[in-house]
Amino acid sequence: MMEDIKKYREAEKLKKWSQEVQKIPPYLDKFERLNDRLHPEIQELKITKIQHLSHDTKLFRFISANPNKPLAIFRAGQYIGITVNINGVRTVRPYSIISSPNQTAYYELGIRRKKDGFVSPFVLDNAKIGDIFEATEPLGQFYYNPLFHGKDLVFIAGGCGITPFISMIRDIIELEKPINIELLYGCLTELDILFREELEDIRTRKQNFEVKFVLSEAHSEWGGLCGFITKDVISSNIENYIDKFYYICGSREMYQFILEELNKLGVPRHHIIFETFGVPDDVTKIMGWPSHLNLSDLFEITLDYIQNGKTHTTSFKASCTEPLLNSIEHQKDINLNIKSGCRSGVCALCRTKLVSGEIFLPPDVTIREVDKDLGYIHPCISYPLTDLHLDLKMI
Amino acid sequence: MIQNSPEDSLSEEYDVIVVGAGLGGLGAACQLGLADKRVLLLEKHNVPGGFATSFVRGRFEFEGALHMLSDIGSPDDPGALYRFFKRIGLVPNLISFKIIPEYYRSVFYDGYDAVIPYGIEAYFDKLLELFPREEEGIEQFKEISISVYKGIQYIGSKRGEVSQKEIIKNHPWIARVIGLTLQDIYDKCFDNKRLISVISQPWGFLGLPPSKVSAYSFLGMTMSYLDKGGAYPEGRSHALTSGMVKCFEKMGGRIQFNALVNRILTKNNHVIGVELSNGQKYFAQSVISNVNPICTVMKMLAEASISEDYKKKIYAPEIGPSGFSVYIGLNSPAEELGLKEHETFLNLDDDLDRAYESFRRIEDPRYIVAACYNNIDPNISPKGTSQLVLTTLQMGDEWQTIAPDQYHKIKDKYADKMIQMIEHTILPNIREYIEVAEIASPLTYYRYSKNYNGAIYGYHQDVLNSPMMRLKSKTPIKGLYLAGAWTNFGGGFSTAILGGRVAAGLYLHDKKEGKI
Repeated sequence: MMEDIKKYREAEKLKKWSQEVQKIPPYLDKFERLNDRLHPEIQELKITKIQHLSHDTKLFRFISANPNKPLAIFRAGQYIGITVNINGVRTVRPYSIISSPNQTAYYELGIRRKKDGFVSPFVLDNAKIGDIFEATEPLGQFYYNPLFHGKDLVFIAGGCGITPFISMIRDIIELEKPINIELLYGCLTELDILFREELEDIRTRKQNFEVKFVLSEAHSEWGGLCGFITKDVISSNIENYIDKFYYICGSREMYQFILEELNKLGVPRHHIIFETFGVPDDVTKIMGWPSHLNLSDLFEITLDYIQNGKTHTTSFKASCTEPLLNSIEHQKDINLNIKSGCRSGVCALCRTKLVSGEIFLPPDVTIREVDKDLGYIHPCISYPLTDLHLDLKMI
Repeated sequence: MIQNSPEDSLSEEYDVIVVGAGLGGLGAACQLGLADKRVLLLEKHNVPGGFATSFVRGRFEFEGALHMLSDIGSPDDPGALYRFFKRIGLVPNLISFKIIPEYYRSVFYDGYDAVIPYGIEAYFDKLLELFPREEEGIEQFKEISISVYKGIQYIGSKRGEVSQKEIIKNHPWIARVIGLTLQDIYDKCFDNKRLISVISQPWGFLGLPPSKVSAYSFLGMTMSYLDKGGAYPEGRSHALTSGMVKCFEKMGGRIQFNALVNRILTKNNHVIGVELSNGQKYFAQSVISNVNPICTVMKMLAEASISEDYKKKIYAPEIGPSGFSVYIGLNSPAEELGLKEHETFLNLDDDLDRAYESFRRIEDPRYIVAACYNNIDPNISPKGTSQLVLTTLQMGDEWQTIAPDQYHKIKDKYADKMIQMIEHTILPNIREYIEVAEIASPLTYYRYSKNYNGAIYGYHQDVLNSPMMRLKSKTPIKGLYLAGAWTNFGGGFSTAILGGRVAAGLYLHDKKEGKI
């Protein structure tokens, strides 16, 4: 017993001694460097090149606006959230990076003009070389996961949904990864195909890449595939289609369609991943939307928030067909800066407390289980179904 | 999420500002709420809990950190943590606990496979059944373990205010184990390698192998689990920490998210408040910091005059490991995959020192734990699926120096090796069922907690930094107290919460005595 207690005394001595000999280093958080290259809180980007990709889509090349701060590393397929300020309305939209992840001298984004859109027409018409934008770190889970995606991939793209695939294809080709890619790329017409030359060039040069364009509104002289990407198109163009891993990026409407087609073919659900960009074009067509709602109804949104050290309450009217975050951002006079990234309910940056009222959340959006009970919502993908009261004091 | 501009600075008086809503910060904040103090809790993230949270990938909501919560007990025999939760109003209304049926399953590459039960008697009976030839040693180990546990309970009941003499007289084993490693105890009882491995299985919860871990820490943890069992909160640890926030608010506390505290403000070596990254200042006569002590003292207090001696105290202890986890959503029910136990430890062999060495390099893992939550909470993942979380430990140092453009590759490769361990032991065809797989590396653990080195348990829980000798809450700055795994009782859920409560208790005591 005395021996054990002696050990205790020794330990105490040792502890004192270890403190005595210690030199105090200057404070250095050694993870900061790596963290800054992978997860910077904010990035400042400067446009250095603008180029037409098609009649309605432009490529924007961004470098870091701060020469001391290189751009963040990303995985091919990820996106960044770009902050735009449009006549006093500050908002964020996610755009996939199309450039290769094997260099971070610049990011390239492809932005397509969305009819009646708020952000894309503004950017396409107004952004010029030298303009500076704030951006998030690279975000998203739409990337090749070597743990279980296997070696045979089928990419299904719709229109501008080709963008993350371009980065993934470049990555696989550049590094000569032993992965086979078959791309089914659906567009309206030949004029809408992006990166056609590059894709066809890779097809001729590389054994492990195949591309088929599928046009839904093709001109009569088009010799390729026509219509939508149906189960027949998939089964007749993809060999051993059942054993492959599927990536889908396009409109929300397209996801539902392709998912059903793949289901009919017997492709297991867990071998299909989606990029879940953006809010639905028409939320009233989403499953579960309460059909009794009068779409012209406006609901009263009440916000508690802190500004200039004081608690304020304000209220305004919002449409049930407009995402709540958009409606809040359009209240220029209160100028609340709510963080956001994905605008799809996934990244959880905009998580906010709902005090009272009911919202519509598309059923394919998963938020934390107890958040529902505790009244936390993701306003970027929530639609008011009644008058609402939000508490922004604690965020 | 609202980024206030600097001119928004407001001077609002609080009794105490708690920096960080991790488990220590939440424990402190709720304890102060019970004492009717005006408390402001500041959290840099937009969710509370620190590691004690959850996140969503696809249709899965993953548990972030919790394996099994100790000190909950049963309604008839509640543990201290449960009683605290009751006092703050968290149970029985806001949250309920599922009781985990068995302690753990222990699997080795050579095919050895055993399930170890909870309950002090059941546990030692099981060891006797598995290792009948070691009867004498096991009996002795049992005696020591029980004696140490009684001593810890005795010290706890006296709120730490006991003399060494008293301890030596009434609980000699406590006095004896303070200076000992777990291996020192084993050496008194047995040398059967497999027996030692099986008993030591949860060593990852403390981050050190038997040759290094404090016997006090390990026996205290094991006996607490055996006595009170292990529990898991319905709704994951996010429900637990969100529930604590709700209780805190109900008691009059105010919490502010997205509030990164850059500086602790002092005047004449007395705390006067804090300053946020946006320049906003809050004033209070006391601050409890749930931020790691190195950052608290060396960065946030950079302008205060702190003695070299105290700084040495902050830097002297070795820093413990970070974690590496793979969060897997499987598209098959747990029972169909044969995942029956909540917690399964997978071991390459009995060389635990070698396994510990593997934490120091980015090399093949040798010891991992696989937690499958569906058996105790069928609602943890959608119907027909299951959730499996693989975790091992890695020291932060190696990860800090890797080239940023190699990071994803290294992380993927390490995760792949962990899945290979599963393939080799309990689920050969696991990859066929994977629907979602997300990885957390030491960088991830760092990023969400800003813990120095990404350390998940703070300082090593070795003999020099066991609960009796660990850094205490009190600091040389009047009104400043430290909370969290780096201090008091060390890492783990219940100990971190308890440590926060101790920090709050010290404040209340000093306040009452007129010291601040």
